[in-house]
Amino acid sequence: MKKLLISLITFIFIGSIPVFAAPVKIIAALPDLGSIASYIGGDKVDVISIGKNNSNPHSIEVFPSYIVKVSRADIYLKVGLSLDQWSNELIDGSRNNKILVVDCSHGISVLEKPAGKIDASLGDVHPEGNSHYWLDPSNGIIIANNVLSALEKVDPLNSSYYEKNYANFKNETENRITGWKSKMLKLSGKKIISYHSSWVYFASVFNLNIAGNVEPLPGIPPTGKHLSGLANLIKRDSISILLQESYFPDKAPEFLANQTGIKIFKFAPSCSDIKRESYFKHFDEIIDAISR
Amino acid sequence: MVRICTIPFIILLFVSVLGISNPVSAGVINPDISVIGQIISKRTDDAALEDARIPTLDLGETELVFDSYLNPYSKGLFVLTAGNEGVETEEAYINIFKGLPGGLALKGGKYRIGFGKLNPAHPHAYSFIESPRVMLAMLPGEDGFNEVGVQASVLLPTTGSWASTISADVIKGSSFHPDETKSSAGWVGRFSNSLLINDTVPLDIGTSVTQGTNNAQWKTKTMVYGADIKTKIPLSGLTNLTLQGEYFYNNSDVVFDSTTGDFDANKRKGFYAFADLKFWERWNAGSIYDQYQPMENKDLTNKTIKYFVGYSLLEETTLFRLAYEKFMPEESDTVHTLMFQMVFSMGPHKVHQF
Repeated sequence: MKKLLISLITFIFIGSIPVFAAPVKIIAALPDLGSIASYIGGDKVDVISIGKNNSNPHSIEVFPSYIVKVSRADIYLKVGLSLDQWSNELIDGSRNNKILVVDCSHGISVLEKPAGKIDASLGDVHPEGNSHYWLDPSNGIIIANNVLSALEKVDPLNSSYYEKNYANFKNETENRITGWKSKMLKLSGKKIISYHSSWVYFASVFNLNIAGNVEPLPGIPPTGKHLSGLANLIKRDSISILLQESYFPDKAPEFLANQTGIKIFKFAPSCSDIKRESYFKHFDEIIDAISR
Repeated sequence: MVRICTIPFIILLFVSVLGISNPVSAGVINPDISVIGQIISKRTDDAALEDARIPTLDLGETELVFDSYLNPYSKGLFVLTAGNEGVETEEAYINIFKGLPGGLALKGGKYRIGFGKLNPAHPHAYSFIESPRVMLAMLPGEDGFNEVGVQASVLLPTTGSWASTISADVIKGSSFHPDETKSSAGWVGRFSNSLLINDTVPLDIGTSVTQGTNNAQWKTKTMVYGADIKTKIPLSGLTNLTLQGEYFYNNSDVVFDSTTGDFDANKRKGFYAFADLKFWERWNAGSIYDQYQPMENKDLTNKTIKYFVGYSLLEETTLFRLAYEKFMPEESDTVHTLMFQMVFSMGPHKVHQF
């Protein structure tokens, strides 16, 4: 009986130490966060993304099947800045007492942080600022650092492995940014049009000037008058690039293209999947297309 | 002795779970506050109504919603409604979703009962205007199945994308006998399952059951069984099709002699099914059909078909809906109703639950 009791106590004690022979289970709100987590976590993590590359990240529907996936996870990577409020529903609904929730916006220099009173007359404005920060690859390094901190907490025995991967990611990202900036040099300082205010960080890092948005205000559909004004602006300033997210309707951009000859570049707002190279490939695709 | 020891233990457990063992500063963060207006205009040829064939305009029910985390383990929600019948607390509950063992969650207070898919949602969240008639005919309650109660639910351990939840509620039971003051408890059970087909198409299947006392004097019962199914098929990045249906079976003991308490079993069934097509970024249209055997005469079948179209400017902040309803009671004339509804919502956007 005594032996049994000692065995039981030993079993409970050992069971309470977080030893991860099994991969650390990570749920990412978007594939971009998932791809970076795959890079840092390598073969010691299992990553699932809730959002798909062409999902509108503002309004992902909460399916019970997502909740059950979160219930089995060790880490949840949130976008933060009020973009993925649906993440809170998933986390709360999962009843997962041990999950570590990571706000990946931690440490980001947030752009377009509104000053003064915020209300719906300004459209669907986020009080904490523009939340599409993953479209600046240098912010990828900050996201990676947040992922690293989380993995070190959850799986401290493999810290050196994660730190090595983080160093590689940082190095590779910095090298790639140099290459991307060189390709984008011919567009430096040029004006562009974007559909929604998703491309602010991308424009900032590659020195593009967003002259206008197809949406008159965030989340508000374009009116004829707004499009007419935008067409005049495009003609006057000879703007040649319009960036559009794949989930928005084509009608307004096509109108502008017909009126002005502006070229529409339609991209998913996120990378295609959670593979480690996907975050970089997304920038390759965007930059190759618009700098051609 | 056991009873004496158990009660303080449960209180202690709750206190520790809720993290209220130490006093904390009040008013650190205000709750989310939303106000939802639902103006409705109707024109009906229902001869039973005073304003038949006269277009009406009504403010409808205005909802005031307070919603907040109470602590890291629980959330609270208050929904007050103001309408023609005064101000009412439609919902007021605490939901403990974290800190309990085994995927358990607890909910207590007044809430819309999780029987099927439509009843737990507020009618302004439907794609169409007003609840299907079958819901009012088959479920307890005069304006939706809404009760004071306590619910325990468990997220079952499953594999893959399969999600299973079992819930059980003990309720006050006043919806089963709205005219009586004497309370007699009832209960609700639900088993819901959800999975993803092809990673993008959800399929929900559930069953629900509830029982309560419809006559406190003679303790006669009403039992309702339900089965529901829902899916949403993405057609493109901007369009999708939602298909949903629920079946109801109501078995009520109806006292026909109030002196002896003799009763008959009144067994009735009904269902609704709808298709809702989001055919453009901000537009949806669809149709809902329902039929049921009325309480008064189960040999009859009343049928309704409704067609609807909706436009939302910025999610649920500004919604416009138009609907045409053809109600075909078997025993009387067909009723045609045209409805227009404007829903406007101030405050934080709520997350879209499937």
